[in-house]
Amino acid sequence: MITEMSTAQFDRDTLDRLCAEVEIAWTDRRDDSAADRLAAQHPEYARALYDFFALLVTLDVEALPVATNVLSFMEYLTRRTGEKPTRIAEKMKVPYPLLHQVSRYPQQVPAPALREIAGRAAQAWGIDREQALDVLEQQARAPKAASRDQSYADAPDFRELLKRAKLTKKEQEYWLSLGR
Amino acid sequence: MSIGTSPGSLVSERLDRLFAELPTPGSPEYLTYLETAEAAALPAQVLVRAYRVLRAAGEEAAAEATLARLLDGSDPHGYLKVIRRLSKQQVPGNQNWHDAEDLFQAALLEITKVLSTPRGVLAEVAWVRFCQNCFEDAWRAMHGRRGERLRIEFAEPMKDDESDDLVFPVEQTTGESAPWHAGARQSDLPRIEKLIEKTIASMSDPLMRAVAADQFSDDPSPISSGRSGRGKPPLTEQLGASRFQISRALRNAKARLAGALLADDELKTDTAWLRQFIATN
Repeated sequence: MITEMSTAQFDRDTLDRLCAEVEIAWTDRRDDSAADRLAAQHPEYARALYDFFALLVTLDVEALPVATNVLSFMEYLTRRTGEKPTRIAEKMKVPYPLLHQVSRYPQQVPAPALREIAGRAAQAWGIDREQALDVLEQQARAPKAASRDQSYADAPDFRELLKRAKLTKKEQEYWLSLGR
Repeated sequence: MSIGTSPGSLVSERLDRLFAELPTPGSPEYLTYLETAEAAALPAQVLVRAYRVLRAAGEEAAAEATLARLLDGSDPHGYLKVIRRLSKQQVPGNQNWHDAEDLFQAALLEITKVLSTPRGVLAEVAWVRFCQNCFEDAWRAMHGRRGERLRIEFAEPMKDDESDDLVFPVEQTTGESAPWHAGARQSDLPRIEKLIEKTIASMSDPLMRAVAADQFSDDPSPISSGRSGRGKPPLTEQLGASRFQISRALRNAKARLAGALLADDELKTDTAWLRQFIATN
């Protein structure tokens, strides 16, 4: 995080101007070579320029229309790790039935609990926490639950999810406490 | 081109044209246009320019209406997506004293403060860069220049219980080659392969070029331990760089390739795949 902020060590006016050139070239003309060209001319700013170009492209890619078939969190985890869901859950120290329910109904899970799940995925499997959280949130925003035909309208609430996951009372209290 | 001068001297023909096509700022037609125009016809940079003109002319009501469209927190026009993204990305983990929404609001406040000052001229041509600056300033105001005000401890590396290796979550990379076949039509593959080759060759940062050339080859190296399928040592060893440096270079290389794919009008890349490709690092 702090490293990402380290561009302050450069002259900001200079970097602003170079970044502005990259941004105008990209947004006006879809010219993807400006970062290369300016990085070659100003090698001391090369990495900052490529960081900035990566931000521009990421924003555009994220704004592309989302396919209706959104990847579920469990599908995402299995693709990323190549492991079975039970093994994934075990290493995350999350009961498998709970991970299954969260993956199925992320929109019913309070934000702090989603962050906890994403954080455990990051710690256990070396996945980027924000990326994992993005997958959960993207799925939660989708009009239909992944791998289901029904809408979320009649989905169980978080307390019910915990019961369905057959957690002990103590475990239920822990997860509920995250949402308070 | 000289550098270090005002970004206001940069020219965007597209933005100049859109600004020229605006109804006279402050007129009733302008106020109607503010309510009805699509974002493509009224990008943030044009709104900023109109806002600054109105402020300079003392037309406060019209300036406020302009600002209201630009900084509407629900962001119906997508002007604030960069702030949303940075807020989510940069909110420190393992703490509860503030969240992404707090960072988002702090950045909006900073934008409001700066927009009508001389520094605001940057936003007339480079809205994303301007927002990034405001976000960084807001972040530093909350956390200190190097995060010294954070009331948390940064995540320590974890021990992998299978390999006993230390795992640095932020530095993890997949070491996978790009699965182009999943995101493209078969008939596009030769064109894509040429595009990749050309794009990698044009990368000016030697580390990024080396990481991209390796990771998008048929035999990508592991990042920090083990050997590739054909016995290549890890990239940290080959390149003498840290895992963090390699991760950053790989992330930027992927974005550079995604940019090249987006810029090529003749290629039809699967958008879901592209989103996943760029998010995976």
